[in-house]
Amino acid sequence: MKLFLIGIVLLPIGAFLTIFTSPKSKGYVFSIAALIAQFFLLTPAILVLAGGESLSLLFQLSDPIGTVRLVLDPLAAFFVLIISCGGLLAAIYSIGYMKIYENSRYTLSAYYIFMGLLISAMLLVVTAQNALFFLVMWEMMSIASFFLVSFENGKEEVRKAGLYYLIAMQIGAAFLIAAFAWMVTRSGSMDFVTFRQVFQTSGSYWIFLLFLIGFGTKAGLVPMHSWLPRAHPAAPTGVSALMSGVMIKTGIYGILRLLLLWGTPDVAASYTVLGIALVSGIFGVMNAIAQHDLKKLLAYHSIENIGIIGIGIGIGMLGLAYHQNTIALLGFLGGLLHVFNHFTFKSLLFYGAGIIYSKTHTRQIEKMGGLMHYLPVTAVLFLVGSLAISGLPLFSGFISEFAIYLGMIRGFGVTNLSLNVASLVSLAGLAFIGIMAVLCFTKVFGICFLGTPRTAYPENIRDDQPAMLFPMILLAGVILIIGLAAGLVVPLMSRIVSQFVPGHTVAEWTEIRLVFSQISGVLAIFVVLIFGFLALRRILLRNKPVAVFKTWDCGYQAEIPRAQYTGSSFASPFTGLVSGIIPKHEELDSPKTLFPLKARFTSHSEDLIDLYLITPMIRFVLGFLKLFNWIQSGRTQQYILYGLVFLVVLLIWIIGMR
Amino acid sequence: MIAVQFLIILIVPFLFIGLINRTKAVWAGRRGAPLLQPFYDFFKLLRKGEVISKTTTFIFRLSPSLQLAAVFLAALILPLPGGDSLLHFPADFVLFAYALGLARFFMIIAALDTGSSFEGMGASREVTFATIVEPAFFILLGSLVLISGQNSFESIFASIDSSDGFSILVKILCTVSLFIMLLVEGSRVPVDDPNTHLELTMIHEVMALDYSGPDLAFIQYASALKMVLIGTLLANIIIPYSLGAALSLTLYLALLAVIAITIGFIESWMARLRMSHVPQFIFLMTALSLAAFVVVLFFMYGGF
Repeated sequence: MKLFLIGIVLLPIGAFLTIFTSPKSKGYVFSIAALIAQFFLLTPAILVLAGGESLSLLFQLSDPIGTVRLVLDPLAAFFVLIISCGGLLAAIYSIGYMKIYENSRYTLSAYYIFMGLLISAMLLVVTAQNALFFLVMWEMMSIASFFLVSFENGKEEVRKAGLYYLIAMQIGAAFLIAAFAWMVTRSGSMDFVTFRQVFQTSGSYWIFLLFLIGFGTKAGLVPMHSWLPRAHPAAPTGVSALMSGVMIKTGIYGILRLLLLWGTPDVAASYTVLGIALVSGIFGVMNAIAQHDLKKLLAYHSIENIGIIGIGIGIGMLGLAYHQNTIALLGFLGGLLHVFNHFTFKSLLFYGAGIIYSKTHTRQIEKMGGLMHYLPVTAVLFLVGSLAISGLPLFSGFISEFAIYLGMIRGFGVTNLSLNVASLVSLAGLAFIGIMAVLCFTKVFGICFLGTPRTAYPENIRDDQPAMLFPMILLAGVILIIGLAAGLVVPLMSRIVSQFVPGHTVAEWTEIRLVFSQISGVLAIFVVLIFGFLALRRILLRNKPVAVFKTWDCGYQAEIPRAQYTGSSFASPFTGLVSGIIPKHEELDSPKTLFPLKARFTSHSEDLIDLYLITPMIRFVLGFLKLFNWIQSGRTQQYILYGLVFLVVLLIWIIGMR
Repeated sequence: MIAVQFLIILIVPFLFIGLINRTKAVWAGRRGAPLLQPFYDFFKLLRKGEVISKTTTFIFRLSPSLQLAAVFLAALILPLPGGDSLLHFPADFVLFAYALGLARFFMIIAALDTGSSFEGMGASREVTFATIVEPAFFILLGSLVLISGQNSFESIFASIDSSDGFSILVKILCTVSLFIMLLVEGSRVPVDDPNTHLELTMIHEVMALDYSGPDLAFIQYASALKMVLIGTLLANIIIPYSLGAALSLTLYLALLAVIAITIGFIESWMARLRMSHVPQFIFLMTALSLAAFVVVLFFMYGGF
């Protein structure tokens, strides 16, 4: 555990060292520090995950915090694994990505320092067992990421996004502070262990809801999601990936930690989690379909995937609440595995989006097309990520979603009306989410990488940045390993999943393991079939003429790239179907005279919750705060008067106290 | 039994298409092509070379083989009526649906790979309709799991044998629902018209517009096999499990023939729906599947 602390300290130290190095080498310095830290962080984490004892460390801080216990139990170790790997990959990626800022007014050292602080804060969040210390680290995480989001602070939209993010995080934190304060006053101690008894008393549903809102804001559960589509496009890509792939998971961690303390959650809380998660999943991916900004689209997919993770957790909670161990095991297995999977494929996709942005200088997919001819390696890696996020077999997303499906299907085996109905709703919901993800990623991949370019690209677009490609290749490898060798990967999850279902028997777990071994076998047959048919095709085409000609265009002899289907036209039949949920905003200047000089049409979609819930709320708060507007007049004399009045009041009060 | 299943996978799809076309021809007063014509076409295509668009990438060449492999995998998971499936495990129907989903993903991006606006149109419609079919299919599967208490294709079909009123009602609802799915997934009238591959209203045919030679053969075979698979699913629900292998097999083949002839008649009698009305038609499948689920709930909990 001491090793672990060294690792945590190493990251900011490495980051501070970048101040003294040249702009070119800052990325390398930080990456090396992160690499060394990996050793200290991963060794204890892997030992714990492999079956070793949970590690813990006590230290004393000054008064309000008191004794801090850092514990590395399997759950914490699992998140440490994700955080430290995600941090290292983001560091390596930044070497390549941040090159464009080397000669700009932005200071790269600040970037690495806040990244180092963010990673360390996250590591402490998942290990801290002291409420106040946890909250302090939670805030440090929010603030460090705020500075990272507003890195390009010269742009107004970035500043706005950063502030929006910071405010959203503070509102979330306010709920957490309230919830923790309630817990601490009941238990009389800051230590998490003492919360266990508090949860046994009545009222745990409402306190859980308070926590759920607080942690859900970080995780991006609907309706607390509105910061994600703003902050992710604004942040540099390495940060987007780190935030989306890793940081929002700390919200999930919070919920899971609560569940560990709660033991057996009550039924209402389980249905609440399942319901919110389903809404998040469906709402997230529906909005993603309507987006044309690549990073905004990926941000909405984070909401979707947090939804899927939540569905898994919800199923697991239902399993616990109804004392069905197998359902609980499957739900938590799926949810937790999806946490890891989402880290891999979402980081991969964000890194890919970053490469596209750094090459084409646009995030609008409508301006892309045919990128596979220019960036073949990026394209293939992005395809792997797309297939994984769509939950398709052979890739990692399928394995975690399959576990969740299996949990739901087990839910039909229990004679309980509400559980059966919940199973059906979530079964159809997850299938709906899956097929919508297919729609969204066929759109993204097809429009960005295939076809022909819709606008002229800058010259010399090539796959020439190994520092950016290397993390992607690693992640794609992990995705394929999990996707193909689920039978080997699932047993590794046993320690973590068992923590949530203490009462399960070995037989129940063995049965689940067996299913995943069978899946691996079947998928191996699938791979053989694919290669078999490819070989057959090759044999059939041997000594046959294979002509290369242009795309069949009905004899119309002009190739106009702009006539290709665009992202919005591809999505339009679907967005038309769900126009009640994704309102489309259209502006049309139609050509008017016989010889029209101009005509213009723009369309963009709105976020329903943003439109009808968040914006009115902000307007209400603003209206209320306007009442106090007169206080800030801008006149110095008036402010001095305030000071004087304050002093006089203070004087009277003190005299009165005497 | 394994040999029989492979034989059916290899031969029946062609006969199925042949029978549909024959029915349409006979109804139109023509003699029509031989039943085995799709088979001859298949082998002719296999012997040909290819023309490949210069816009395309490896996706275009990979896609047909991958689609065929995925549909083939689905075929191995699905049992024949009264028989065992070659690959079975808990929740195997999820892989069944998702393998077809993988095929769909590659079919769509291969269409977008050509950069043709026709194919983009087809791709967009294909995936839009799939967003309605997929949840409905899972609702249907959920009803079957609930009524049978089992969780793999083979064991579900083995235990929905009973013939009380409730079960028959559920079976009827599921059958109609699956038949709609067959029309949608097979791209038949009233959703799509396989004869009109250069009009702006088509879906599946236009996505294969740039394919030729063996790749086209693979795609056509895969889509025919997919239709037969949904037909097999339907047959598994209708045909009682305990009839014995020979009788089940005869009934199964007869049922497939009936389905093919029905499709032929539908295509002779009615026109394709307007594109904007297709979703409503597919929502019928959702409604029927939901109805099946509600009936199962009534059956299990004896009313509310």
